[in-house]
Amino acid sequence: MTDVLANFMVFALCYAGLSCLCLAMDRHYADLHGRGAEPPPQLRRRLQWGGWLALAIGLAWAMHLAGFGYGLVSWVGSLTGCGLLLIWLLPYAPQQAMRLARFIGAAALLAAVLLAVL
Amino acid sequence: MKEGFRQSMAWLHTWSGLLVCWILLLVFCAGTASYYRNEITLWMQPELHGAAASKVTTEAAATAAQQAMQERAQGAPRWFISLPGERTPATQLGWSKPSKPGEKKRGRRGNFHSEMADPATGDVLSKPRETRGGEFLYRLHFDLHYMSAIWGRWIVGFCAMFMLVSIISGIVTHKRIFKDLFTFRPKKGQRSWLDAHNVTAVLALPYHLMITYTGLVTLMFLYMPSGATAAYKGDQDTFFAEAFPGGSNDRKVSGVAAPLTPFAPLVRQAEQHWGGTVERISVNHPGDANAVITLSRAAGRDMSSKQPSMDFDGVSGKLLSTNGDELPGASATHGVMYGLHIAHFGGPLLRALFFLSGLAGCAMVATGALLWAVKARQKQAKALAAGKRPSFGLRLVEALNIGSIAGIPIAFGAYFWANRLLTVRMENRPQEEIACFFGAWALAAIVAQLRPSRAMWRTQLAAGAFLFCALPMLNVFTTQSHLGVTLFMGQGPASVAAFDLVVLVLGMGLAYAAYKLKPVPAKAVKTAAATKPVISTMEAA
Repeated sequence: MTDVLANFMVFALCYAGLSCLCLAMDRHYADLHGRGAEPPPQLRRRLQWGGWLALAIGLAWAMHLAGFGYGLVSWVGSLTGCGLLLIWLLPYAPQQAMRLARFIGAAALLAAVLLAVL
Repeated sequence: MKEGFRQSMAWLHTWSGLLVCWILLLVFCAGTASYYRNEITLWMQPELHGAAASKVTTEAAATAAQQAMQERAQGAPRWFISLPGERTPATQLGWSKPSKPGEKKRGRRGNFHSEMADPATGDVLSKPRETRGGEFLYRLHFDLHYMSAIWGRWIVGFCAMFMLVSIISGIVTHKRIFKDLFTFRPKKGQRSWLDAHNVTAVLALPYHLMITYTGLVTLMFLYMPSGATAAYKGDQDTFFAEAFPGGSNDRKVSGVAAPLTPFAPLVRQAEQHWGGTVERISVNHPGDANAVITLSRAAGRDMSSKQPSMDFDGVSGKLLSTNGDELPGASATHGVMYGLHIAHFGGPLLRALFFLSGLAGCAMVATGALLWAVKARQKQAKALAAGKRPSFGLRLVEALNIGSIAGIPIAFGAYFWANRLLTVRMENRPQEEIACFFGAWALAAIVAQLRPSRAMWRTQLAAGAFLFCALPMLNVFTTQSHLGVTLFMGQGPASVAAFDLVVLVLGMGLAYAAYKLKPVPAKAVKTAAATKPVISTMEAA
């Protein structure tokens, strides 16, 4: 169980992080909030920081789980998988893609708490 | 100047990619499938599915194997035992038969006997149907087929080199690699193909670079022998002996009989030493006083493809030497690169990610090839609208695209169908299966050359979709380990269930592609009629 949770966290952090970075871009912000919409500068900065932070924690966590080499490879692989999923969802169901990001970000936090407790 | 550089790189990217894309697609598809080579082989031998369910420790399996060998392999000069692991269900026993005096040497394979045994009891399993299974796809990935392995490797290496050129020139050409990172705009014609090409290329870029580069590294002694030749003054044997060290296997037969020490304690000792499981046991001169037992570690402890081994005295069980615990730098680097390429180290999750990235690679090559045709068609739009025929080059590329992008799935499907439908005890069964693979593919490619049209795309994609989607169904009629048993009753090897599910998903993807190509209403009747004969010929094949 803890194994599944731990691996899930790498995925969750990658997906949430990529979604944040994606949403910080004009084009994709506009996909969600209508044509021409731009993220307010403060929000953009927060999304970018949050996104990179999530990815960095994901990498650190993957390396903590499986060592430097394994961790790096599985993190890069997770990024590819999550990125493909996000890009596939974006044009067809942008709202759902972002809802999934929020949900999965929350799930990552929950998983972290659970792992700390267990 | 900058613009000029980008443009010349774009030219390089286009042509270096186009020239090799069809072979590359085959190499990518076969390579991606090879991540699951053991699972494919298992799927293709339904007779072994029962054994896959039982689990025993390596020590118990080693003991059972030793007993079986002592009964059945009397007098053999060498024993080879592969213990079951996570991905292989049964113990594999092999031995070279003692050569009779006066008999001519029959080559390496001729004197070799191999059989599958139950891991717990050592009993011979009912002989599974003969097939090359995933091994064929693995070999196809770098040896091709119907030609000598060396030629195949040179061709694949040439394509890989072009691929590397393509990737790097592609990165240079792609102006907005970060801005467009998440951009995919469907239903916009050429724009969409370009987006899809970019997305599959950029998102899996670390994988593509790694797999192409390490692919070349796996065969670097073939492609670039000069370094080794110069350093060792042409003495290849010394070079390979130093680069790939073996152990103290060169002890001669003493002629004095002595009983073989039990494997189990040695296995325990080796597993403690490595912190990993033993996969292979080989014995030189079993039953002789000078017997040597060599244990090799299973992959999975680290990324390297080079697995350490330990030699034991076959009578006293004393440790003679350990090999490969500490590799020198260059050798370790080569091992890790090779290891990264074949990805034997990963668990199920990591392997799935490699598989996914491999699929992204297939998609990248396929969309790249399509993009060329779409662009060329755009250039000729005026002439085409005026009723002229497409240029020779465009027609050729479009036909090759159909024959490979839609044709390769048909070939894979035919291979798996043949495995189930050919009579089990057929002579030369493995060759017949492979003939089905290439037969179906050749048919698809030739038909595509005759009429490279939208209807042909649809027909071939539908044929591939049918072959893939119907595989789980075919299993119901031809095996005892179909999804009903493996999944719904939860009994059977999970990997067999997973195979069925993955081909089903891939088949649905092909079906969706065929559906997207639905013709304008006037042609609908004609296409539906054209679909049937192709599918029935596939079934026959």
